Amino acid sequence: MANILEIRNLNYQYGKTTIFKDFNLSVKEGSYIGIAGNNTSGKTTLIKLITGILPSKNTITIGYSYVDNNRIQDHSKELGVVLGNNLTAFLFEDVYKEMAFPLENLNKETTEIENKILEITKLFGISKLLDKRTEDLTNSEKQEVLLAISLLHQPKILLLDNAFSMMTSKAKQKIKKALKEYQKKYNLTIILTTTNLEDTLDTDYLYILNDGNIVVEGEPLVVLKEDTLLSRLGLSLPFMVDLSLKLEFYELIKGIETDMDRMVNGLWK
Amino acid sequence: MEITLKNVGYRYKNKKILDHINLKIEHNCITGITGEYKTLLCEIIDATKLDYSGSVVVGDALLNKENLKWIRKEVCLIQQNPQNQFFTNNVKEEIAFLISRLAYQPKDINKKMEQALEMVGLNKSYLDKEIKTLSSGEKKLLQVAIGLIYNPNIIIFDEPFVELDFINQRKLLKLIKVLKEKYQKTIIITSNNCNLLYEITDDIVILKKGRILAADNTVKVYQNMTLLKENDIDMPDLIKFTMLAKQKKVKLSFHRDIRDLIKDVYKHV
Repeated sequence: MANILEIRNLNYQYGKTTIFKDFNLSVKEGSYIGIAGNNTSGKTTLIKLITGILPSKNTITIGYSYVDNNRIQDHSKELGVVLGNNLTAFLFEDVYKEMAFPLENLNKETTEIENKILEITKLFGISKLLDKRTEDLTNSEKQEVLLAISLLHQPKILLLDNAFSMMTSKAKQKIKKALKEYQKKYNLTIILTTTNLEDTLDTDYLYILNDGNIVVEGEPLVVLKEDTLLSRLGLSLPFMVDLSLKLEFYELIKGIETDMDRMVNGLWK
Repeated sequence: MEITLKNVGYRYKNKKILDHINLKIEHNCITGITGEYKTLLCEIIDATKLDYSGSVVVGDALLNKENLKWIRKEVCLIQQNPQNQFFTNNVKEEIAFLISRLAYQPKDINKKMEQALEMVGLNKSYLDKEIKTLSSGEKKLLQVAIGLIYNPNIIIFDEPFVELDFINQRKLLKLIKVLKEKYQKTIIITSNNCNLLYEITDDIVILKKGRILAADNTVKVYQNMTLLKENDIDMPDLIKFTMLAKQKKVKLSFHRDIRDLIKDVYKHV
């Protein structure tokens, strides 16, 4: 598969602080990658560079063209972005209007807009929220709606910055499952950045970012075995991984088990 | 300072949002609030919203328009998004502005500024920084530092953990414990992260559909399986594991620390 996103020798400074120095990353089309790091690792800056909000001086390509800081609109159709911690971003009183707005901006027909919204909300299991007022949504519901909105214009790449941070664990499970279905159907590329390693367990490939450098990379369960390194970098292991490693140390189980039911069944047959 | 809510209700356009809230938040305790409309409840307690029915008593004073000035000094709300709470661009200006509003002016303003930062574990070099260059974790700590300048008795943290990485979470948890134990503050934390709530809070309040579902000692509430299951409330991982083991007729006890759980598992395998 071709690379949909290429970052070659990216350098970025903020004032005197160097954030990225000769940073490289390539992302295959249709893949689901995770980038985890602590609060000062540069995750959000990376998202801003990819979207073109910050200048990247012809070091980032999406498809076949460079991301240009002065022409953000060229790429905005291909990118879906969710900034999970920005919950004040709602403009309209009810959820349906909020969802229709970006499509109205693209001069879509009313019936097309309606179909698209119904399709996405059905997929994510949030059809009930459509008649609600945006102010009445809980933080978890707000994040669910934001995610649905980001996919309405059928982007090729979805950037999720802490997009699950306030979801209840039930909602998170539901949304993640739906997102995978959507990904398969439309061959969507997902880039997820987070401080919470738990959210990265279902990614195809995981990068650990620290001070603008990739320190470890690989399949999530392989990367998560580096527990001492990860805790030194300020990341906490997901509960099940932590428990697995500790039980493995006492030779009670073998390997990492992320499903609690299976672990309990394995321990006490 | 304790807080008593008597029959508090909140309506918006004739829709009941909160109803029959009877609650006592104990002095010098850490109380967690989880579920729907947590933020609204916090805004009622800190008198941002006054158009509710019923009564709220903080300490000995009934909340009303006349004692707003007093309540602003006694109750400090640390908002979820730090950006909403800063007035200026610079750490020094921000702190200096708030100190200038104090009734008794300190002799040495510089020292007072350094002390404010020191309390939350930031050193004085932060005084020269611009707020937008701080990471999310540092912004959260700065928010707390600013909140503490007025020496409030009640501190409300609205979703404090969502943006923080592991190290900053630990820092904040430690700070919260110090505020409780050394400075006898009354602390309220809202969060959907049941694992963190289980770890830090003394009491917990679960809101559902605008009513109080449970308000009691944290351990008691989280060990009430029937309540949690019937109402679809997220269970802390430690509790869930013990519960699954109990279903297998294994005599595991409930634990609050993963290390104790491992020891217990070791005994029973």
